[in-house]
Amino acid sequence: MKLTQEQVESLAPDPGTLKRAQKIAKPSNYANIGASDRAIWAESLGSSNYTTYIDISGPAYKCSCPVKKLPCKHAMGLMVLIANQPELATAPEPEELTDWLIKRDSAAKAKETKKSGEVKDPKAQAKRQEQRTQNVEAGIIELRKFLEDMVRVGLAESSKRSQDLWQDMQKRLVDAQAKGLSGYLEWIRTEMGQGPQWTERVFRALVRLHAMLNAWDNKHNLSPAMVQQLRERIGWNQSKDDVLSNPAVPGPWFVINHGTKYESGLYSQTIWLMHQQTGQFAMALNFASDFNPEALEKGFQNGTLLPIASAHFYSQEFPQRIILKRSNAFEMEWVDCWDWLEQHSQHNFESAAQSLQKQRIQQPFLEYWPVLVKDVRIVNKDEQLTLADTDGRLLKIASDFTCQWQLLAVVGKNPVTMFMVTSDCISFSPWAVLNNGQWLALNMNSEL
Amino acid sequence: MDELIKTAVLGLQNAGDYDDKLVDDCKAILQNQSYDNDARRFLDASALTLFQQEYSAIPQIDSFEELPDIPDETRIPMSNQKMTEFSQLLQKSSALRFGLQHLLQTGEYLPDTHFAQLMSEMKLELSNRQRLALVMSARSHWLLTMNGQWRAYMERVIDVQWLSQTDLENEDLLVDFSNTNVFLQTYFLLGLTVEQRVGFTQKVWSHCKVEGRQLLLRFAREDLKNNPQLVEWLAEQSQDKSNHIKREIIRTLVTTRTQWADEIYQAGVAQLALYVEKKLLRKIEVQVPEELTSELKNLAIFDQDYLNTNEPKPVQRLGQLLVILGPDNWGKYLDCASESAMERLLKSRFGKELRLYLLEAAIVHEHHKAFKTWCAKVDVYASDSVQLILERLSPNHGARIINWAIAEKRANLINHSKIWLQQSEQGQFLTGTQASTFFALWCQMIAKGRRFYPDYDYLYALMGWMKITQLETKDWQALQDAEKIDGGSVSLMQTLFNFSQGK
Repeated sequence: MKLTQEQVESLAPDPGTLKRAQKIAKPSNYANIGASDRAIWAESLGSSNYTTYIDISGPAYKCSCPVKKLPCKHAMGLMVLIANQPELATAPEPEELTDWLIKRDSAAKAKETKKSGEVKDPKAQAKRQEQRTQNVEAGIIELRKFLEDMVRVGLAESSKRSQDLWQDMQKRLVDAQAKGLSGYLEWIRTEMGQGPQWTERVFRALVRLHAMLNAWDNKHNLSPAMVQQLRERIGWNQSKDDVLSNPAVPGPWFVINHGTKYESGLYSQTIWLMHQQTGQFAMALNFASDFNPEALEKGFQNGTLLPIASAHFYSQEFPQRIILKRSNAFEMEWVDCWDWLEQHSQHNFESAAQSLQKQRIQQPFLEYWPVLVKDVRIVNKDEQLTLADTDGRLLKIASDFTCQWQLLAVVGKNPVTMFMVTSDCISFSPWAVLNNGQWLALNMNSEL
Repeated sequence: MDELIKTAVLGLQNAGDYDDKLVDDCKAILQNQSYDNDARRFLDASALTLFQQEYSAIPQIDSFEELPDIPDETRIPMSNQKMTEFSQLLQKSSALRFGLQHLLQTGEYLPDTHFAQLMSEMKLELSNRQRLALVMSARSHWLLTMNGQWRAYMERVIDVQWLSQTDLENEDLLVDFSNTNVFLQTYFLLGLTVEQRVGFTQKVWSHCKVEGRQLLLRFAREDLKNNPQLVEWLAEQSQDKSNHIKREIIRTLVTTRTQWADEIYQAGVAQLALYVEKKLLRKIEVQVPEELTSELKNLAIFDQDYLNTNEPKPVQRLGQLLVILGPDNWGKYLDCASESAMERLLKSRFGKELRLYLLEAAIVHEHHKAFKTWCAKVDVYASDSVQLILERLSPNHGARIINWAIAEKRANLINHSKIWLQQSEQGQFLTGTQASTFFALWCQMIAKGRRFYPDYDYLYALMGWMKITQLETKDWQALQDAEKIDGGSVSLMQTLFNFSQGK
């Protein structure tokens, strides 16, 4: 196993821990250092001595120090040390570690078995589901009235409405177990009266929401897979176990870009990936509360391949969102040759638009549709930065894309292969580019 | 679509009929539906129109303007070796500050690939971005010309020529720059005349925030000698709204030995007499001000623990008073030599609590003998305090104090990456005998493993300050033999600074 500094740094729970770990990452601070393909171990020496184990298949950490936030500085420091001086790992595997690994394996097996088990009381479950559907239907009727009322009085007037009105409606949707719709409404509320072109953004969102409610009314005429998509947008979450029971799509998966946003006590992490062989896009979306940020996935480097990761799609028919399973958080490869990426790219905006329309017809209720296009340049159209292809066709940059100057800095005047996402097929957010053999991802959470 | 949006904004109650804004296909579909609700009909019509537009959206061939050409480089290209070194720096964002500052000083530009890499993940904090702008590869110059807001702010800073006399007369421009400490620092590195520097300070002073005024004061200290006009002007600013700046102005002025300074001394000595009493046999009785009186406030003594001593407030008050007066005045008051006064104060009842203020006084007043006495009598690791003291003094002043500390073999007074970084940024490097002496002391200190471990920030700052390649490799070998630096740091330092391993 070969660890790199970058891999280790990407696992740090916060910059402070990494810094403290770098300070103690020296041979004199550890004893009985050892490593195998499965784990790393050592005794951490200091004012008190601690036993530190890292199961790299998780990764999972065990340290006898009192720090709750894992990986602690001892585990991080050990990884930094092994990355710098792998030759130090000579100690045999301690029994305690072997026991811990066995326990972890047994727990994982038990979980697998539990997953495949049957529902205890199918009648009660059916009743619960029926009740939930009724609740959602009631919520949808109220939401329809709310939206129609907005249209009658006008968006201008609605933007001045008291926040209580909005919050009441959102709360009623949460009570009706339609959390997805509540989130959608929250997005509209925050956009009201904010920034340029807010009326257009809100209008489009309002109309899409209305169309989604129409589709729900018409659900008996839709395919089960389409209904499943709708259910997810409305707020029926698939359990993680259900998703993991879907067939795994093995890698190599290419990390296009990843970022974590923090809002109202909740971290949401988005990881865009592409399958190296098929060009299939996939998006992992993870959430973690304020109290448990370490629950987010760690160990991603934009522009690297995850050779042994596998993806479980939420939907087989309409694949986009996934749960990514990695048997080893340190397995990643840098890309030397980009021919495969070029092969999966659209040649111009016309073919990109066709590809997007195809995706969109299949998956009309997604929030974003991704596309990769070759030879895209940045040009100026009416004082606005605009994207141009080799035929001279133009695409607008989305008005809420906040990294225009960062994009300009990394692209310059070169034609680049560009990864973009769109929510309307009219304006685009370019989140990463391949420029002169360098994969450059923009920070999805910052403003220049 | 625009018309439908207008209708939605105004509301169906206020807008007119919208049917004539719909395409025929859409009208036909709506005619086949029955609606008991005008809003639902409108939303359906909007959905049909919107989806028709979005689903058929094929980007059009249209006219556009090419972006302007990226200008030719005007700065020095980096050598291949340095490019490799810089690539490694980029991987350690903590070292960027040093790296960018280094390029700024050498006049080299950042190659496009590196510039793009730096910008892509945007790990740079604001001050580093400003440094980056100053480093100004042609790409960054070009980037700024694309953005009106940035251009207005920074276009003129593309190279050092921006600070011409004309610019100095352009108050709007100076105001724009004045809140940017990197610009202020850069300005003083330009080797301009005293008149230009003084003119600049006076023009931007009122526009600067506290940090900026602090920085201007640091540089003004160098120009005060033989410049009564600047002393007078600075005295006029002594009623600054910030207590911190007020204190710094008074401390700056008392070292000028002008009439203004004499008045401060007299007031200070009168206060000192209230708390320090001479006794027989070279002894003194020290008390501390239990209250912050208006007399103390007039001497710009405030309850601010600016040295992070965590001492009780009364001690801090007396400490500040002693700093204002300085060792020569303590000596005069106690009828003894300054170094003897230092010794007596250190031995007094509050000597331990006051020791950092006594060191500060020796440093601020550049009193070599008092400094030596302090070093001989107090063996504590005071580099945190020294860093805070030096960051308020001019770079040359700092360099002189550093030389004294090295001469006294007190590396533990200046073992602080911020001190080194500050000095490097002001063009004050440690070279020659001073460097090898300090490095040997530093190696010994590392070998003793006292209180710190050299992390990357620390090493980069040290290597940058000392221009490490000039060092004797035997010192380097001694450091490695001590096995206190991990292999990763060693190899990185070797690559970065082209430092060959032991001969």
